[in-house]
Order: sequence, then C-alpha cells, then structure tokens
Amino acid sequence: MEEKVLEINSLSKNFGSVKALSGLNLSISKGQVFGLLGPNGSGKTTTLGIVLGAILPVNGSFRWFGQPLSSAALKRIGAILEHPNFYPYLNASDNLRIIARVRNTPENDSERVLKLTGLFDRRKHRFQTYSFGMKQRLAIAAAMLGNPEVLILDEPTNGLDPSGIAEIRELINRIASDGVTIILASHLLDEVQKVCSHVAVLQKGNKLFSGSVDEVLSNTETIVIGAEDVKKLEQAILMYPDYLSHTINNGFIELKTKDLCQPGDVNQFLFSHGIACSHLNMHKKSLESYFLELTGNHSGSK
Amino acid sequence: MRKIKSVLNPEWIKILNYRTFWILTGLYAVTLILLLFSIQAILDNITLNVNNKSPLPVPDFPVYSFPGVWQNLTYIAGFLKMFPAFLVIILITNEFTFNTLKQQIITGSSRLDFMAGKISLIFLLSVSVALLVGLSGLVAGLIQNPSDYKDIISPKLWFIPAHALELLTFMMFAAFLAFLLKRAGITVIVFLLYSFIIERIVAFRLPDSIGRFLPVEASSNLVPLPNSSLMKLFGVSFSEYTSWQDAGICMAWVVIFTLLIYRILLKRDL
Repeated sequence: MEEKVLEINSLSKNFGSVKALSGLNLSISKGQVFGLLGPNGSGKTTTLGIVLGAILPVNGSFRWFGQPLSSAALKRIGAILEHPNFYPYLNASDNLRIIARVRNTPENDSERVLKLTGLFDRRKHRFQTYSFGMKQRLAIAAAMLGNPEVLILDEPTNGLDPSGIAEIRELINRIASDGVTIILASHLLDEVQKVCSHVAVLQKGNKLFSGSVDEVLSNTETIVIGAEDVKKLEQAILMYPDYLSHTINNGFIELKTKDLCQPGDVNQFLFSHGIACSHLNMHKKSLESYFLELTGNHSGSK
Repeated sequence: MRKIKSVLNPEWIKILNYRTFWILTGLYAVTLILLLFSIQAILDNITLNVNNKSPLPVPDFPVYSFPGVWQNLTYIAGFLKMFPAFLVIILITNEFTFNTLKQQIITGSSRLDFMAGKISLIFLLSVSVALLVGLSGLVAGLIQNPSDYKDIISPKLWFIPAHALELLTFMMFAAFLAFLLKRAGITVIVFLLYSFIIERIVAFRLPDSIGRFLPVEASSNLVPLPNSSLMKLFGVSFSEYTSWQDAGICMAWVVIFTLLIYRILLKRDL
C-alpha cells in the first residue's frame, strides 16, 4: 500500500461567479513528482492555495499525511505559490531568518539553501535589488528550508533564463531522487514531461486526466510512413493486424496501433504487400500535442 | 512567555532593518520629547500675553511640578498618538502589499500566531511610549523642582499606564482597519476621517453617557484635561483621575478589535 501524502476530495471554489474549481479529486503518493498541468486560469494555483490553507474551499475536503490541515503539517511542506513574496527592504538572509523562525528550523540551514540556489554571495543584498530569476530562486530556497518532505512548486521556472530553467529542473530531479514528494504546477508541458512521474491535467477547474506520465506517452505513439503512392499505402495499412486508426498529414500517413508499435513489423508487412517505404519514422507524440488534444485548444499549437 | 517571544521574534526581524520604521519612530520620539519639554515655555508665553491684556492676573501654570506632571504630560502626549497608529498601519498593510502574510501562513504560521505577533508588537510599542513619557516627566520635574521629591509617587502615576492603554486602544483600532482594508492609503484616510470627523459628529449627536463608549472618545477620556489655575478661575473642574469605567470601556475595545481581526483572518482568502 502506497503512503498517501495528499488526498483531495471533490474540492470546489468560486470567486464570485467564476468557478475556479469544480469537484476536484486527486491523490498524491509519497515519492511522486506530480505535475499539475493546465493553461492559465485552469485552477492550479487555486488548488495549491487551498491545500496550503491560504484559500478557503467552498466545498470538499483534503487531507495531508492522512490528517486535516494544521500548522504542524504545513511545517513538513515547503511551498512557493505564485510570485516570490518577501520583504523588499530586507536582504535574503533576513527574509530566510523570518521563515526559519516560523518553521523552527535551525538558523544555519539557510546557508545550505542559499548555496544550493546560488544566492549565497548575494545574501546580504536587499530583495528589491534582485532580478526576477534571483527572486524566484530565493523562493525555492525558502521552500527548501528545513528539508521538507513535500515540496510544492507553482510555476518554478517562470521568468528564468534558459540556463536558470535547466538548473532548476536539475535541482528538482536531485531533490526528487532523495525521496521528497514534489507537486509541480505548470502550464509548460515540456517541463512536466521532463520532470514529473505523474500528471493531472486541469482545465477550467475540471480534471481532464490523471495518471503516470508514461501512461500518457504510451497512448500517444504513432508511426509516420511515407511511400510514393499514398493511396495504395493507405489501402495496405488498413489490413495491418494491429491497425487502430490513421490520419494523412502532408502526404504522410500517421498510424496508430493497438499494441506497442514495431516499425520493423510494419515495414515487413508493407514490403510483403509490394510497397517500399520512402519514409518510416516512429513518433512519440509529446505531452503537448496530447494536452492540446485533451483541452481542445488547437490554437497556438506549433 | 516563551510563546510570546516566539511570535515576536519574526516581527523583530521584520523591523530591525526596516529603515522607514526607524525614521518614523525617531521622528515620533524627537517630536514627542520636544513637545513635552517645551510645553512649559509655550504656556508661559500665552500667560504672559494674556496678562498684558487681562484686567485679572492669570497665575502661572507649573506643568512639571509633581504630581501634576504625570497628568499634564500624558495629556499632551495624547495629541501625538496618531503617529504610532500610522506605524501600525504601515507594518500591517505591508504584509498585504508584499503578500508576506500569505507566505507566512503557507510556511506554517497559524493565523493566531501571526495576529499574536502583531498585537504583542502594538502592546510593546504602547508600553515603551508611555514609559518614555513617564521618564520625560521625571526628568523635567526634577529639573524644574530639584528638591521636590515627596510627590513623585502619587496616585497620579496611574496616568502612565492609562496613557499606555490609550495608545493600545487607539493602535488596535488602527490595526483593525488595516486588517480590514489591506491598503495603506485607504486605511490612513478612513482612519483619519473616522477619528477626527465621523466619530465627533456621531458623539455630538449622542448623549455623553453613550458617546463615551465610542473607541476614539473612550481612549481620549482616559487622561482628562488637566485643571489649570486658569480653569479654576472660571470655575471649571475636570477629573483628576482616570475613571475605571473609561478604562473598562477601552479594555473591552481592545478585546473586541482582537476578535474582529481574528475573524477577518479566519474568514478571508489570502
């Protein structure tokens, strides 16, 4: 039996007439790197705000470590929510000291998290002099104070430059390998795909899908085939034993099969039907196209 | 006690390197001390001018003589209580402007702890200012009457804690508005409008026996206007002591504002 870290039962929230969340159910187990994926305004931050006690739910309930929310539970969780929130007139050390006092963590732990996020040399500078990327890194440092069992990261790479993004992702992977449960909210599919083991897709406060990232990906493999005579190819492909569906795209056929695709089998099959492939490519559909399919949002796709 | 220390500690870090806070506090302390030590000169000047025109001689009013000094100075200090109230408004609305209240709640501070930190700070501020006024009174009194020790200890010393309660009530009202309105500008405007205009109009319309229950009025009643010899001349006489009823009303307001702040924190999304 997996140990449940967070269980959410039919959580709902309205902001005025806007339904931010409607009956969300989620279950997150120990050690998962769980991605909350959805476009802006889909309810990710609202969900995190509720489970962290900053926003009051209208309906539903949630349990941390099998218990209702308490200060004690929150001290086992490190979180960044939306923007980095610190006192602009205080330096990084003082800002972290305030959080360390609230959490009762040892004072010298701030040195560790400052070094981890590359802010140690700037620790005596005031927060308001920081670039956005540094502010974001300070937020991550604050969340990691006292080695929490659960790390909640809301858009952690927002506003970072490419090397900063890579650093943060590496950091997340490193923390995850220590067995820390991570909940990552993001509108970047690529990020979730690279970092997460599990994912829930949200849209307009509804959960469209949840499962492991591998599960999502195994559903989305296609073989792209090209031949001189596309009509003949299409007829042949319909007879392929594992045939599930196909689409024609730019003169290429994209084939979906029932089981795991074996390009070699397909090639052999087509050859035996007198077709020589001019193009044969196994294509792992990215979570992005899957996500756009799920949310029905095709505008803006590449 | 350890609990109070633990909720005050983050508050202390927040203000220790906050330059705006120390500049305002310094200005307040300097203004307060200047006012307290120059009030005798100001009054003497007025008496002199009046005596030039008046057919009746107006006697001098020794502000710093014991034990009257305790009432005189706490009454004067009451005029500056807007200052620490602004400090409180700044410190509380900052938490909303910077979103740091939310950060502290998700970090694991309970709403009760957060509120306790702010209220402890307000309490400390009230006591410190009242002690500063008391110390100024002692110094000024000893300078004016170096040999007059016997009346230092007097029931009028109660005006020092009464002034602390006056500041506490007033600052708690400011804190309540700050928690309610969240933004510094609007809080200051509402606070000034209410304290100087709205409550006075309401109090004017109400009989005294009811008007004294209003929070600003109640806090001002704690230290009544001192009886100068001039007033005695006109046969006016004000109370020379803090009434327990006024003290009770103020303490009740402190409790009410505390409960209202806690309710706001519990019922509102951060």
